Amino acid sequence: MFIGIGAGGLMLAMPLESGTAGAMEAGFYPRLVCALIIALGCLTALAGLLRKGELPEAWHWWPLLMVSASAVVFAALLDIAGFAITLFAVALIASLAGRLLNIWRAAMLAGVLVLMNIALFIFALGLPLRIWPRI
Amino acid sequence: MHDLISNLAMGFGVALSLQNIGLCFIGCVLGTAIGVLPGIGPLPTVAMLLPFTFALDPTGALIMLAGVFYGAQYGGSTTAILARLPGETSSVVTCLDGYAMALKGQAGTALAIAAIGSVVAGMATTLLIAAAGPPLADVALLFQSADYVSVMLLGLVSAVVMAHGSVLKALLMILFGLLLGTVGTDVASGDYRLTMGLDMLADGLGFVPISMGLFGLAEIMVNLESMAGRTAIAKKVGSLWPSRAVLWQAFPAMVRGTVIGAAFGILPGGGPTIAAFSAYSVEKKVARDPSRFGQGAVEGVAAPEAANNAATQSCFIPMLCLGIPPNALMALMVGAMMVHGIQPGPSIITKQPELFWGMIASMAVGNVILVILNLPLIGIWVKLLQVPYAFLFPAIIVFCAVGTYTVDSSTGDVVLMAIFGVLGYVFRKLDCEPAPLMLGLVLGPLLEENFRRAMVLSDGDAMVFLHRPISLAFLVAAALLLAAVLLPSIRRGRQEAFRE
Repeated sequence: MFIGIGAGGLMLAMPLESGTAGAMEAGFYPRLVCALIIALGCLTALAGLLRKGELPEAWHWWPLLMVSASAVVFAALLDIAGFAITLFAVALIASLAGRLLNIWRAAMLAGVLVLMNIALFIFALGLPLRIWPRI
Repeated sequence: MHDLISNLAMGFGVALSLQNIGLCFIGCVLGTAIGVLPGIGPLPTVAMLLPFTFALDPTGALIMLAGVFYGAQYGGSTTAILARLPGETSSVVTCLDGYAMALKGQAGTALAIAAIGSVVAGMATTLLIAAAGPPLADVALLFQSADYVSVMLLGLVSAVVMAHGSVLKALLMILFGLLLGTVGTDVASGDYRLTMGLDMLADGLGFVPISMGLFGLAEIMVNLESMAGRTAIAKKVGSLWPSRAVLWQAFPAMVRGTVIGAAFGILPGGGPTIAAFSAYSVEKKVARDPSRFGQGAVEGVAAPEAANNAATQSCFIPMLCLGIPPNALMALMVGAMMVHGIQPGPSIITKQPELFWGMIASMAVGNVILVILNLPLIGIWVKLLQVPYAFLFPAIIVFCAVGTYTVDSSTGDVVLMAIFGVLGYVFRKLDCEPAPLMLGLVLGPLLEENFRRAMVLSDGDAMVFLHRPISLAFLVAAALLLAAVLLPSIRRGRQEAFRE
């Protein structure tokens, strides 16, 4: 049941955006796809309602939150703080997601990762990235 | 025949250049190294390493990516045999008999059989591609837009059929992918579509952040919650050389596996996983004593390994010759080619023969490298298996973030990756497979373009798809497939096939 509603709701939300589609010409194909999605979404929802399905297994929010947070932090920090500090923060947050390492070992790992990445991306591949923040 | 040899010679000339051998080697090493790590299959591996190849020339990049692909495929088998941890779904069946053999102290034999099976299959399929590619491309050159639309529909339909789980959900995922493919600037009118006013999306959704999010990050999130204890790893590898009797026993199974694998690889929506499963069940059927299977039967290792390797390579055929990826991984490869400014399709053979033949030859080279890598160096891979996940996944996350960023130097892409990571997690929780989405995303723009062109050519007459014989044939095939899944008896059979 949960599955059905989830999938249905997810898909039903999609066509809302298709309102912003351009002229008839450009919008034709997306509308076609959206229409199909709505139809199938309804079908899935119906099927989900009919057979009282198994509930999906428990959701684990912590890894979900931390893993995505680390990517967002990367995006937010990179331009301000430079490559080294950003990566350190990202690696730290990422290791928190697993709750398997204590903070010292996580920091150590983060340090090693920063060095490895600097060596790989900046020295070996020669990408134009700033290592330290602009002062 | 003469052409074939001279073309292959040219291909080997390209593939055997120092740079390309090096790239193929690096690809195989990286692929194996990451493929050995539990829970990371070829898809996330290729997605993760994609950005590294952007600095290379197209041929080198593709050779390296292909190396990564079969390296990862192969690495998965190693863990399957030694630790009962399938690196990816296609080596699930190898676990059954491979691990049983390892427990009996025959891990070395199992590994060697897997390696030999892979090479036999790989070489045979390489020849098949070389022989079948050009004629197929000639046929494909006759295709018009309407025919392309129908081929792609067939491909999408069979992707649905072959997907695990609910047909409806797979269909929804494909449609979602198609929809995502429409984001960006409309080709014909230049209008922005579905960009929600964000300039970042004007070029369409980047294909790297999506695949990294869906397959890389989501994979980690799922793995983090199922961090149960690991199975004991078979420490003693034992003698690597199989006895002649064992080889004799395994050889027919390898041949059967190769044939099955090659066929399933070409089929749209197919690929290594189904090939391996089918090969295993065929072996079980033809065996004189089926009860041996699961207890360490050599054929149970040889056939699926040959099949998955054959499929790994033969799925390049539709991708290279028609420009239509048969599965999500090939969709990634198509994406990689497009990033390099190559439009995959039938003209690739005539326009870029070095690329085409170089890649084919590199498959043969890659197979040899893999054996060299895997048999003598098996100890290293076993060590790698013991790296705790706690150290591993932050490294993967950092790689994903940096990798995505470097493609376009865009922090927006990294956020996009995070969003798709979450989406990928949700999809997994809802039992929706992300692979069909990927296929939809890559095929979407192609499908739309050809669909529109066909409509323009026919003055908006939808019957054009039924009038052209090629198109009609594909549509009929697609309809038959769809009907077949909906029939209850076949549905049951399909469920059984996936349950094992």
